[in-house]
Amino acid sequence: METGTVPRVDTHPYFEVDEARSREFERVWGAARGILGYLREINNIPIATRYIFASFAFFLVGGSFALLMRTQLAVPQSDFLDPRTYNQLFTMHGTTMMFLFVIPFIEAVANYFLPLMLGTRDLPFPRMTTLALWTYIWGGLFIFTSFLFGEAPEAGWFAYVPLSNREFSPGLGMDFWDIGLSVAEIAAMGAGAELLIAVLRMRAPGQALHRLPIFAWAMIVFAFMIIFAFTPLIVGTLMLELDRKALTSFFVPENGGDPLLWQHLFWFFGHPEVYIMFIPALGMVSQIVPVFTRRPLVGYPLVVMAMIAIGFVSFGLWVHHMFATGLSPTALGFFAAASLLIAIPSGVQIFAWIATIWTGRPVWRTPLLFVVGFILIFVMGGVTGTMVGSVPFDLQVHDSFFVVAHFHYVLIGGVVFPFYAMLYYWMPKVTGRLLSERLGKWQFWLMFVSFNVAFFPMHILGLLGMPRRIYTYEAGLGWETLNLVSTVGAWVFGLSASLIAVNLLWSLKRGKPAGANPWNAGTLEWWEPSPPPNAQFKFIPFVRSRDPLWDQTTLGPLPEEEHEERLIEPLRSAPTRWRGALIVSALDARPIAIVQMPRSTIWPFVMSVGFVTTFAGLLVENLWILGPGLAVIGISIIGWFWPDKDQDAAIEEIGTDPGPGKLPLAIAGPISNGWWAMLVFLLVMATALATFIASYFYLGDGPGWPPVAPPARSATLATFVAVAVAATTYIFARGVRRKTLRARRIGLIATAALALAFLVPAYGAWTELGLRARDSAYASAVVTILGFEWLMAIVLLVLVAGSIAWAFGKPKDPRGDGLALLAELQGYFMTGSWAVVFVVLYLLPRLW
Amino acid sequence: MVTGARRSADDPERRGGESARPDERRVGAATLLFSFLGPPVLWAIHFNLVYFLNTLFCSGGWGGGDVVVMLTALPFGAASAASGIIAYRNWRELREGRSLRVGLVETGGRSSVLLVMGVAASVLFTLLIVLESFAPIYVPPCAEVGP
Repeated sequence: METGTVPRVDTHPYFEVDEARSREFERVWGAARGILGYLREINNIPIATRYIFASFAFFLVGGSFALLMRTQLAVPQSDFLDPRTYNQLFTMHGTTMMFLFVIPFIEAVANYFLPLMLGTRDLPFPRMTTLALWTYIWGGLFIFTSFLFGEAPEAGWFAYVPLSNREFSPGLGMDFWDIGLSVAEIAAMGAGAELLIAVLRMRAPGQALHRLPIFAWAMIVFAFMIIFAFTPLIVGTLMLELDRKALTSFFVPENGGDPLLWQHLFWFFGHPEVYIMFIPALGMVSQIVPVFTRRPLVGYPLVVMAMIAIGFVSFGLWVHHMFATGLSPTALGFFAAASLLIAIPSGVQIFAWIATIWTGRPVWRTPLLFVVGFILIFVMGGVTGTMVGSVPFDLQVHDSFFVVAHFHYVLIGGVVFPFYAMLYYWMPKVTGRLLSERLGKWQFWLMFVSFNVAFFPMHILGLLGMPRRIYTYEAGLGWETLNLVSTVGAWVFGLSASLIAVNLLWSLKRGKPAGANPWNAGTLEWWEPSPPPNAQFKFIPFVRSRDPLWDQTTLGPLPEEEHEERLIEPLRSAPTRWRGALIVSALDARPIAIVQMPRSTIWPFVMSVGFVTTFAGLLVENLWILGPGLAVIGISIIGWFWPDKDQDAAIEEIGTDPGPGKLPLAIAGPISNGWWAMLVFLLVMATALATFIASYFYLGDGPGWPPVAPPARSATLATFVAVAVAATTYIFARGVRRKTLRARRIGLIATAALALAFLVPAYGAWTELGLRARDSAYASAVVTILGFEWLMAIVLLVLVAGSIAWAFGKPKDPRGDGLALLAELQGYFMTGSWAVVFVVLYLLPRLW
Repeated sequence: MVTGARRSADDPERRGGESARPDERRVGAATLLFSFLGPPVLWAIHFNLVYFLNTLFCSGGWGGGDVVVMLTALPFGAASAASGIIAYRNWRELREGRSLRVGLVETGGRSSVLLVMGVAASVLFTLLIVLESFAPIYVPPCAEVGP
């Protein structure tokens, strides 16, 4: 390939190196050593590498389950697998691919490459990335250990009620699924929140929104979708688990519950989930196509808007999985319209790629082949998607193999092929070695052909009436040949998909050194060496284009950027006593602060062990396991947040006050990443509350619903307390902002007392009901909503308790201000959420 | 690679400070927000509203739900279309006011790009709002229970 515009060794004076300072900088960012160091490591490069390999291992396991299923279906009346094992395999195949492969793999890739693309040194919360990694691994293994006990889940990856309730799924299988999944999902949400904050706040100066790499845009959409889609799933699995433990009756019809509620909650997650997987893949494709066609992407704004539009519309499609459940025809019409029109933004992107290839000078290397394969297969999946988006057609092929064919064309074509394109494109950056082109091309053609051999016949099988999720079938139905062909294709596909491992091993041994930018790409990740060091971006680059390595002659500052250059001088091959990175404004990427990043620590690993122990205790309902698990979590929270010397050094070196030509240290308030993380947390909590309330309304008027409004004495008292919490929150936050210690201390103590007091009437509101949660769906909904408010008060208590410790221990320390301003957000949220709950549970029934 | 097709952003003849500090006028944050996110947010509200109204009318056994659903197209469709018109007008003004240097490396600054996205969003989501509102023309509003 040709060489880019920015020379490999940038001679701009900005990049002149002070060797001693440079060595110190590398030492500060260096990897932790030894076995304990392996567990303490938090830097994005090694953590993301582990993430990538762990998720790929799950992919191979999930894929092998598919091969076993296809072997069973190769011939009629096969006894290769018994029905129960078959059910377990299809449940775990879907669960593994959806929850343990695709989402973690995307997050792993983003963890690795986003900081490199954005020109930043790490993700905003490296400890959380590490916690997410370990929690995900434990969560995945947790689900798989169910096989060891002969208790693997077998109600499908969708876990429809009543099939998944205690009556039809006795034993621990579904509990493994419920709890393990929740662990993995919480990890995914944490990672999603981190990626969102990374893109919005940690970029190179000048990388304004219109210069963001498309993959970064994709990750913004991805992260928002995760927050809004995964939360209802977690709420749903909580409800299901409570029902299974006979504590509630959300899905028990005889108590006023409704099994269809589960389908709504599941598919409100499940359909956006498809696009959650798909949108990052689109982002990857939009990164790869310009590089191999030697021109910028056609229609950048339209491609970005298409991704955002897909993100929105994907939340209006969930009922198309429920067309056959008896909803009103007009309601089906709303969802059918959205299902069909989502083809427009998808089509916009397809045409943008085709136009880019058409008007460029394509270089047919393996990544581009996989992209073209993706376009062809995905378009076919899209065409069948519009077919099943139409209600009459869907009713004909519902639950048939046609649907299996459709979604595999979408998911393998739309997600797995871009993943392979991405692996061939970015793996040289990870390993520093080029993969074999010849083997890559062989792999592409084998995968492309065998994929169509495996899955195309399923369309016909579906139209011939073969239902999905059957473990065998009778001979003479005309399905034999197509099933056999499909199985042969599946085996070839499975083996050819594994060739990447062979290629990787070959490349590690014999691959040519990749150099920093083997493809002559234009984005920043190709500026750093391959593989990138832990100490990345010793010099923060200045961005003036979407493709800086193509369009700029230097990544150093121009004369008119002298002000920015002066601002970020403390980050020039520095700091050398602690890890520092740049915070920029979200829209224009103007430097606004410096952030101190944590060093290696064991606490994320310890906390993940606490999580898995706690969940194991919940699974077997054993306090001797649950208790130590909770204790480990508690200890690791204290260890995690314990002030360290690096923070002291950063405060001393940078200070928290901005001055002329000087950036402050980001510790407290909207300038800090922690404040933004708190906002995301509250967004998640608001979504959870909205899900509970939507479920309450959905279940309304069923049997067991009270004929009159519930007693409101305790709830009214709780309302007064909640309003008082808002007032005292205002007082202490004002004290923090105006540096008035007295107001701060009084406000905090009063808030703590009120939050504690709130628990009493909130509990009283439950006892006044005179119902156990399991007595009716109504009681289940009310009690869980009240429980949610309890949780909010406890979170506030914890934050305020920490703030009080700072206010009395080290009142001038900015870290105390930071914590208090987080408590402020939580205080207002608690009051606001209780107000909503009061209106919904107590006022509306009186007005209706 | 692309150097033949496009001049470097740092090329003094071309640059003139443009790429580091785009000289295009900035559009106000509220206008940008309405143009950029208005249509999808309007659609999301409308979608939930029509679903709620349909369920309400059907469960209450009241007539006229189809007309109410169709009427929702007016305010929401108009607002979504208006955001597109505002975005287009602002974008056109930016384009007219821009110096000739702009657009060689980047087709516009932040405002331009977000406004183009806004126009596209307006077209798509207005269409969606109208199509969904008129679903009752083609199908009965409530499920019919068979004998």
